[in-house]
Amino acid sequence: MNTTHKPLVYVVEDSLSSGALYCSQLQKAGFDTQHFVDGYSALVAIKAKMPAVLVQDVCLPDISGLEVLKYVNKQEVAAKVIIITSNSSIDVAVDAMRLGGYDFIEKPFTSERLITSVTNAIKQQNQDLKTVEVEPTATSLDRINFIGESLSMHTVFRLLESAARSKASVFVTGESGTGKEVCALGLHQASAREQGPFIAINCAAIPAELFESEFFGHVKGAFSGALTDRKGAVEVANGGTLFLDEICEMQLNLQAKLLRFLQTGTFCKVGSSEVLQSDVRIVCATNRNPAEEVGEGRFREDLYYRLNVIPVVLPALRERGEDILLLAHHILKAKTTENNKQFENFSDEVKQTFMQYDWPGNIRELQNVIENIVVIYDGQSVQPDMLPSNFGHNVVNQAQYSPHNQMAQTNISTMASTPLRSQASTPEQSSAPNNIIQLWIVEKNAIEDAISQCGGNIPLAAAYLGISASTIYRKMKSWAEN
Amino acid sequence: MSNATEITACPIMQLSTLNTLETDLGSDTYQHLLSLFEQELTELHAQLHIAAEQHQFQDINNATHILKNTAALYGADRLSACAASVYQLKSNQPYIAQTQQLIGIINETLTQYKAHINSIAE
Repeated sequence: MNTTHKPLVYVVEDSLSSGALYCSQLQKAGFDTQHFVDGYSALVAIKAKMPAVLVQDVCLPDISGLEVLKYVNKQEVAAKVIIITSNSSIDVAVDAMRLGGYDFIEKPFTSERLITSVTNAIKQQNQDLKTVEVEPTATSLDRINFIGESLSMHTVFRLLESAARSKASVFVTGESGTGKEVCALGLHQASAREQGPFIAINCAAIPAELFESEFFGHVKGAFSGALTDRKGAVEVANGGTLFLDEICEMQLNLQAKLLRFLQTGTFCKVGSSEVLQSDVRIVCATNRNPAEEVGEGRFREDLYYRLNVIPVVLPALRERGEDILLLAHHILKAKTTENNKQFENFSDEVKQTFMQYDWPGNIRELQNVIENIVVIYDGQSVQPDMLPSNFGHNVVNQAQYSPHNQMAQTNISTMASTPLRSQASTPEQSSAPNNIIQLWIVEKNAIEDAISQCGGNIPLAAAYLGISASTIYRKMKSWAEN
Repeated sequence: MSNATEITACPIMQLSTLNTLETDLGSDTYQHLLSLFEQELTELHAQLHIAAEQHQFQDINNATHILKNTAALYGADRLSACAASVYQLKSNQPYIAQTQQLIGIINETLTQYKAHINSIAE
């Protein structure tokens, strides 16, 4: 007798023959199934026995599939719910994901798509159960390496925790340096895809003509220079997470191809008509306002809704209150250990300066400032004179953090959020020596020199400079605008 | 919306879809599923017939919602295209004529599928 335990899958689909077909395909793949043609029958069965996975049509003849989903998610050990829907009810599917659905599949779909989704849901279910058994108080969030006590970060943590348990696309927005990639990596590590690859692509850093090949791969001879077959990011990320940074920089024609991949889970390499399949979880990020990009016609609305299933907005560092010091201490400890120094804390003055500063570069800037101090100086406590000479003089902000410092408040009101270039021009207007070159010009020269030395290859130059290519593109744009 | 020419260009029975089903699931399951499809088509045909006679837009909408996806799964491409076309109509549009056309296509589909089921059962 075969005693192997097969995971139980309920299929809730109002079409008799479609439901029977899905069940047959799942049985063939090794699952036990039961088919229900309406919501109430499914609810009764769920009460009697919770399945591992529920494959759920949204449009049912009696009650909405969303009601079934809500009921399931109220139970102590809830099934993973995969929503199946037609094009016409895509908005409902997005709502379903926000209510805690695990995945959604658009009709008509292939048996492979169905089986992959159910298999992943089972994996996630097993991982969740294991977590509950082994660490009753631990949550997936504990595995996301994020530091923060502020209210805004608590909201982020809650969202990330829900997102980690599903396969839903996550759209991370926030200013540069707020930790969007850390957030994506954290999500990957906290999900059932943890053992799979995490592939990050910066959409701004890849030249438009190479994007399709980078994304989907190419076959030998597809274009001049395609000397061998090459796998693209989508194929390499199979079973894992694909992080698309600066997604709003993607060209419209490529957005259409990405949308097709998201809808079908299939793609073709450049130069090939063979249809390949890949199961990836998409996490994307931008420092723009995606809704505004849609309004301006630079980003496809349908793709936006596909990707924006779970929106995560990372707050700017200046909005995180005491988190600034929490992060500063954490970074100081890490950099001190890395550099074999003895720093232990910050002086009160430095703390106050940190709290008052606007942090336009966010956590990345905080890291750089602290690393700079730790590398250059020695001591136990970080003192104001150790701060970089250009730090905190021009873009000091956040009057609320300096209630006793009237002088600072006066400066704040006149200088807050001053752009870098006009800041740099301030000393020039006074009596500064003529041989001091403005910082932005030094930076521009350094970047242009690096690009030139790398034969015009911006991503390579960025790698040597220790910054992201997108930073170079942004700076080039700002030079051009000015 | 698909126009009439596009709908007619679709095959009534897409054999490649059916072959894939049979290969993937085996002959017995395949035959069982086809008979379920035939049974469901017969029921939906009757529902649509009554709904068209009584101008019951919502009933037509419910039936076409099922038909457009189910027919595609079983390779009844022309039926799926026509059902999708009727499903997109609004209640203030003339939907009865198109529903009648859909009922005609269900008849043709049923004829071909019954013949196919008989041929594989022999």
